[in-house]
Parts: sequence; C-alpha cells; structure tokens
Amino acid sequence: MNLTKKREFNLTHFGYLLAAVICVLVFIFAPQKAVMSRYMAKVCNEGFIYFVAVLGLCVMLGMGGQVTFSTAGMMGVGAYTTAILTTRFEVDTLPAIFIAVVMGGIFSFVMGLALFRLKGSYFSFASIGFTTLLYTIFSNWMDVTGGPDGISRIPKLDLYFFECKNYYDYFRVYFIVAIICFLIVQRMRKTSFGRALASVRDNEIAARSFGINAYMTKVYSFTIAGIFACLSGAMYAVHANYISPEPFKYDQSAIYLIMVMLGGVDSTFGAFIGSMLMTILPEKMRFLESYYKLVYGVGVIFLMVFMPMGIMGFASTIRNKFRTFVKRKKAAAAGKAEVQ
Amino acid sequence: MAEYLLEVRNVNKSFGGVVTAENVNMTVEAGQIRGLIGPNGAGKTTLLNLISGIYDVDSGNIFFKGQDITNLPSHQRARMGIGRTFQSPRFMNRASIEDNLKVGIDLLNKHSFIQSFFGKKGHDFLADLNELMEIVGFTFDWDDQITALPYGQQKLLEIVRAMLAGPSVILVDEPAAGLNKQEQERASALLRKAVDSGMGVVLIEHSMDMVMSVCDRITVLSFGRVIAEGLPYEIANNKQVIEAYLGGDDDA
Repeated sequence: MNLTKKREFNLTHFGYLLAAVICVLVFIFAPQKAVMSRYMAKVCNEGFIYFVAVLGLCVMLGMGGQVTFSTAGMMGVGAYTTAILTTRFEVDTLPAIFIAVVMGGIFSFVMGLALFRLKGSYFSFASIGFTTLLYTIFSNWMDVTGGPDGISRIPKLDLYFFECKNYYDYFRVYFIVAIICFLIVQRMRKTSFGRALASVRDNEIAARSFGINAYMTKVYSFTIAGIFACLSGAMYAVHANYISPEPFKYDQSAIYLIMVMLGGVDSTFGAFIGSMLMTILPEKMRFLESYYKLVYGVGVIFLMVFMPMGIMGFASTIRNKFRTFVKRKKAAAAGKAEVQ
Repeated sequence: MAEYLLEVRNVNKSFGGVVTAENVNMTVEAGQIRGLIGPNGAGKTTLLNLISGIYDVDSGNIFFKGQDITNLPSHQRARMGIGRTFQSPRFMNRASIEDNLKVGIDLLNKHSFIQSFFGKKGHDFLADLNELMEIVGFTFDWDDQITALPYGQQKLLEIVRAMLAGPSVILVDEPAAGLNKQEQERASALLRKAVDSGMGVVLIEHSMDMVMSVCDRITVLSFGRVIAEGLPYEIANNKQVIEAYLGGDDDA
C-alpha cells in the first residue's frame, strides 16, 4: 500500500499527444481552398467563436453547476464594446478586443456579486432578465448601439504582425485562440479554484467546511464565463464586420447551453464537439428545410434521455466500465495465481 | 483556567418553537476526544453545525483558540482550523478520488488561483496520506471516481481527507454508522491518530463501544440541553443518562 504521485505514460497522455499532432495538421492543411470552401471556413470560424463562449459555460455549468442564460448578453457586451471602440473611436482591433474583455470581466464581476445573492433556479431566471435587459439596451440605445440597425463597417482583425484578410486567415487565428482557451479551461479544472467550483456544485455545505467561500467562488466563475463570452463577442464582431442585437437575445443562450450539454458538461473537449456539431450540422441539414427544427427537437430530447452527460460523458461511462472490467479481471487472475 | 482549543459557551438555538440547543456549554482541549451523545433529535448534529458555522447561534458564544468566532462564516472557521465530516460522506461525486482528496490539501496550502494555475508546489501530503491509508487498510487508484469506492471506505476516506487538511479540531459526525466491526476499529484508530497528532476531536456516535473506548470526556445532550458531562465511566453510571439515553430498566 504505497500511493505515489508519479504516473507512467498512459492512454490519456497518448490522447493529448495525438490531439496535438492533429491540431498542427489542421492548422497547416485545413484552411486552404483545396480542403474546404470559403463558406465552410466561415462556418468553422463561427464554431470556434461559439466554442470560446461555450467554454464559459463549461466553467459555470460543468464545473460550477450553475445554469446561466447570460452568455449571449455578455457576448453582446464584448461585440458592442469592440464595435464602438473600432468604429467611433478608431481604436485598433487588438486593443479594442483587449479593452472589451477587461470591461466585460469587470462588468460580469459586479453583476455576479448581485446575481449570486440568488440561488439555483432563481439565479437562472435572473440571468434571463439580465440578458433581456442587455438586449433591450442594444436594441434601443440608438445613439450608441445603432438600435435595430446595429453597427456596420467594423474593421477586420489586425494583429499588427498578421492581418486577417479572408476567412482562411480568420480560421488560423481563431483556431489558435480556441486552443489557448481550451488549454486554460483544461488547466483550470486541476487548480484549487476548479476543485472549489466542483465542490460547490456537488455539495455547498461540504465545500464551506473546506474553507471555500461558495458565494465568491460562484462570482469568480461568472466573471470567467463573462470574460470568455466577451472575447467570443469581440471575435464575432471583427469576423462578421457587422453586428445587430439579434444574435445576443437570451434564446441564443439556450443554444449555447445545448452545445455544452451535447458535448458533455464535464468535458472541455466535449464543449468543442458540441459547438462544432451545433454549428456545422444545421448547415449540412439545410436540405431538410423547415423539418430541421423537428429533427433538432427530437435530437435534444434523445440526448437528454439517453446521454444526459453528453457525448463525452457517454464515452467516459464506457471508459470507466472498461476500467472496472479490466481491474476485476486482473484481481481475479491475481487471486487464481495465489491459490495455485 | 485551562487553554481550550474550542469552547461553546451558553449557546442557544431554536428552529421555530423547537429548541435544539439550550444553554449548551462544552470544551475541547488539544489531544482530547470529546464524545457528544444523546438520543435521536437531541441536537448533536445541530451543535456541530453551530460550531462549524453552518447555522448561526441565537445567543451565546463559540471560542476557538481563545478567539470569539461566533459571527464568522463557516469557510473562515474552516480556514482557522475547524474541520468536519458528515453523517453521510459528502464528496464531489462527479470527481476523481484525487480531486476529492486535494480539496483538503487546498485548504492546507492556501494557494491563490494564479499560484495554483501555474502549479506552485504545495505541501507534500503523500507521506501523511500513506500513513493514514495504512491505518484504514485499503488503497485506491487516483483516477477512480469517488463513487467507485464502497460506502465504508468512503466514510473512512472522508475522515482521512479532513485530517489531511491539517485542522486543530475535527468535528466527526457518526463515523461508525453503516460500517462493519473492522471498519469501526479503523475509524477509531484514525481518531486516535488525530489526537496523537495534537488535534482535538468532537465525536458524535451511537456506537457506545466506540464512544466508551476512544473518548476522553463525554457530553450528553437531551432535547438540546446538556444533562451530563464527565469521564466515560462516570457517564456510563449516570442515572439520568441511563434513563434518557441508554434506556432505564423499569423493572429494576
């Protein structure tokens, strides 16, 4: 009986290595005319944008167990801040995005302090109100947001050393941003904050008895989710070059929730799968026309009934069953050898 | 006056018309196991919740290492060194055993998010963990889900986790409930290990064998009131206790 910290190279490590190789290959070969159309590159870029927003939900819902409908609203904050700074104040896109993210972080922290006075479903309903409030501002504050007409002529993304001229360029940049955000969330899971969040999710009283300030932990998670959503909104603005209030309605937040549920709330990679599937599938299923919504509705019910923890959750269950099976086999073999 | 690790002074608590603590006084010294017994509904777990800050007291005071902690929130009390376990193990059910144990270590390390994010090295808990696992007599795989462990092992591991956090006092709520004889002995050994390390323990337990064998002093509660306090043999021979809790013999 001697537990050690060191673990040998295992299947998980091999998975990471394989994923790294695939990422490099995708980065080099995917954004080219011969591999994908301009339109498909645009769809993928939108998938990456949504993935960044959904990562915030990974933190809030997956790690913290808090259902929030604020994602679309906070995306709007990021998008409008970037759009206003670049079009009215002629700030370059990169610092504009940075300011949008910082402002979004501060804003969501303050809002988190207020919203988390409520618990459970009360918080969720309040987050709907919060997003609706933001949508009303985007739609009606004509002088600043342009009202229903929105803001156009948002400049293309310029990183100073690299300017995004077409969707393939965006693909390369957004793909890297998505990977960086993925790694941040993946790392976050293994920090004291990640464990605190999981502890608050599973048992708040037990969490408090381990020195965890449950209220502030939830506020920080809301702040992090807000930062990801603002970054996503800023990416959306400089990608579409035009924004209107419609994509930032609260019902869009429900779609982000479905994305994270589809992939698996406990998995960062699941969030990626969910985002990409929910972005690409509608494009591939256009031939169904209005029946698409029917398939979509049935699909969501199917998911909740048969895979409540999403695709990655389902995969994880199978993996755990396999591990238990192998362990039992090994234990049985060891017992047999002892008898002999 | 003796230096108490924990002192509960004239504490009162009621829920509506139900009085769960009435002028309760209790002390715990370093290296002492304080048994807290009484019939169901006597207010034992409520008292633990008042000490750990899950509930607020209506009146009275709670002191920890001489400092009045009555108005401190529960997480601050835990950070000061009051650990606890629960009647049913309360783990992160969707997390691995490693993550569940590290929640305890995080309390000891007190790393900020940034320090933790960049992998600041913390307290090396492996030696302590191995020593405690030797006592509880089982091992595990780090990556296994906590729910993969049998109930008895989960209960023992919850005490191990509380001890790894390095508290000065541990509040242990019915550690023997649902455990077999061997596991009960292991739980007792863990508590003895805790007091040998200088911790104070408050133990709620219905198994009188365990209470009588490990406790240094015992407080008996009935309907929220302390009806007796003393050494185990004194409690075992106290008429009021026998009538209220151990069961009086009407034919005698």
